[in-house]
Amino acid sequence: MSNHKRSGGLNPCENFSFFSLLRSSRVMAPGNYRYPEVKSPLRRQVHGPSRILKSGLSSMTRGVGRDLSTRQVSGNGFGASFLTRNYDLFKRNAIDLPLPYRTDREVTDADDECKDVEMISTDTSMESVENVAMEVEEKAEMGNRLFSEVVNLKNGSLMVDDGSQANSSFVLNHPVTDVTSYEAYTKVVKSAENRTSKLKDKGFGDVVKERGRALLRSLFSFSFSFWKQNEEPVEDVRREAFLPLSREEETMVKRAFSASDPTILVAHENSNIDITGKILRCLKPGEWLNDEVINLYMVLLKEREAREPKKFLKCHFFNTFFFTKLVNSRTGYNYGAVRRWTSVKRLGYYLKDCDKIFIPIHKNIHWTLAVINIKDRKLQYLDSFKGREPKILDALARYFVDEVNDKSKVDLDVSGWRQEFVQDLPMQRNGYDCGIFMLKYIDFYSRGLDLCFTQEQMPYFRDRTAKEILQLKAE
Amino acid sequence: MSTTTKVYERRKVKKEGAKRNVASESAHVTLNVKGQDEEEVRVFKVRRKTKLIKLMQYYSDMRGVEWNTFRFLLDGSRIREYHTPDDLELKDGDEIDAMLYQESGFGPSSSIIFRV
Repeated sequence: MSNHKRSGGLNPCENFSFFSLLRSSRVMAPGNYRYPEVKSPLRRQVHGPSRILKSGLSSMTRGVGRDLSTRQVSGNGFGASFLTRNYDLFKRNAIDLPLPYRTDREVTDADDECKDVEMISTDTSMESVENVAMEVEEKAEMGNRLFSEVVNLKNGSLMVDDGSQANSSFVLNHPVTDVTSYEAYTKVVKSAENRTSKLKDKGFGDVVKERGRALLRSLFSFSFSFWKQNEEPVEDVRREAFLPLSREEETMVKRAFSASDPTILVAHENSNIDITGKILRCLKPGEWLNDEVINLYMVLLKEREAREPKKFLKCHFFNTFFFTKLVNSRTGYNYGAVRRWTSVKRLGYYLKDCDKIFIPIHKNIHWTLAVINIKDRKLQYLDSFKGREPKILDALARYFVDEVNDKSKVDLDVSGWRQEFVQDLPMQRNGYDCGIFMLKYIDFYSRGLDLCFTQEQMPYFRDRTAKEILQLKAE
Repeated sequence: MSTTTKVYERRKVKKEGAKRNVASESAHVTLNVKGQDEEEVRVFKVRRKTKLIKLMQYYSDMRGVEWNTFRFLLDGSRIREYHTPDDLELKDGDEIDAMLYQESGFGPSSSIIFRV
């Protein structure tokens, strides 16, 4: 009964009460419509939010269970039926049905189609098509690509660039011509066949298994089991970020923590930073982090990258005083104050040749991190309390433009860069770990990893940082 | 040579500078020190072979704080107390930044208000 009522907004006069029109609908309906005797129970299950459009993909998908051969839709009739037909095509490919069965017909019967629909009822490929805004899986992408190819092949006057755009903002402005040409259709069929076989080879038909595998993969990503050969390097890199301390290292750290205040535990020549007992004790749980430790760690990270350049991203690490100098509370932005900090003679490279530039920000009582992500053309701000400071990113954008102009005499346009206030990051749940969080954001990002750690690992990270400082080697 | 207090040494330096006009350019170097939280730039004339701890102590006394309150930076690199101007190849007019030490956590460590 429901199939009689919803017409995708094409015939608004049907929106009267169900029951009064039930019997008389067939009699009273305008001549355009013929209501099919479809029995499939599935049709009305909308798998996700679908937009109500007068024309376009979603209006068509609502009527997917109808008898397409007999339906004539007013207005954008040609376009919609063409779409539905090819939607069938794509859908069938997506669910891995052999295509040759359909070569003799251009339009399917409602019955056959119902069967298709039933078969893939547990499959979410429907979902991904109807829910056009959703993130597509591989399958849907393949489908989209096929769809776009279909559209392009038949193109007289359709304005479609690629499948994804077609799905989201498809408006038929021109009538479609030559839709029914057999040559075009066979072309499409052949390309679809090729794709289908490829898909088959990948074992594409079994979505559930694939999904399960992906889920297990993510669950086991921290364990030492190797799910696939090509995932080994990622697992290794991740593991290295969490290597536990050996017993000797633990004793060394403990002994260092109990050293007297003025004892110089380590002295780093390049950075001229000495770490005394008092300074190192800031790494004990519950203590606030000191700028000496942070600045030394930044230098150690740079040395780590210099040791193994293939393993880490090309980064520049500013020290904690940089931003304070760049943006003075009284005088505001001042590029001249930091101009000489990044001379090529001093650094050996240009900032614009780096992948990422890390700037630790000290805001009175809180450490946060700003990243000039040249590789991805964006400015990121990471705060373990998820605060937002667009002014900081504005100042850094301006700095970067000035810097590139000053050193390389190039006018860089960063207006296309976006500002990202990273929300998907581990948050601190106390009042003293913000410094360690910042160091770990830097560490993980410079490895090219995502931020896959939590508050619980902070005590381990503190010990690990202490160990790396005592050994003057970041790993 | 500097067995007297800092004030005298400074005066001594000045006197020597007045006498040997030509030679003073090579024996001393004029450095500007800019504090993080103030606009004023203080000028110091320092002998090339003198350890910069003298400068740091003098500056900190002028500001009324402990001498290791400030971290002294030259173009982003840290200066230590045992460095001399010759070690760092300082020239006349080089600017040294005196930055306050930074600690995180929720406590009154620094009163610098961030304003862009």
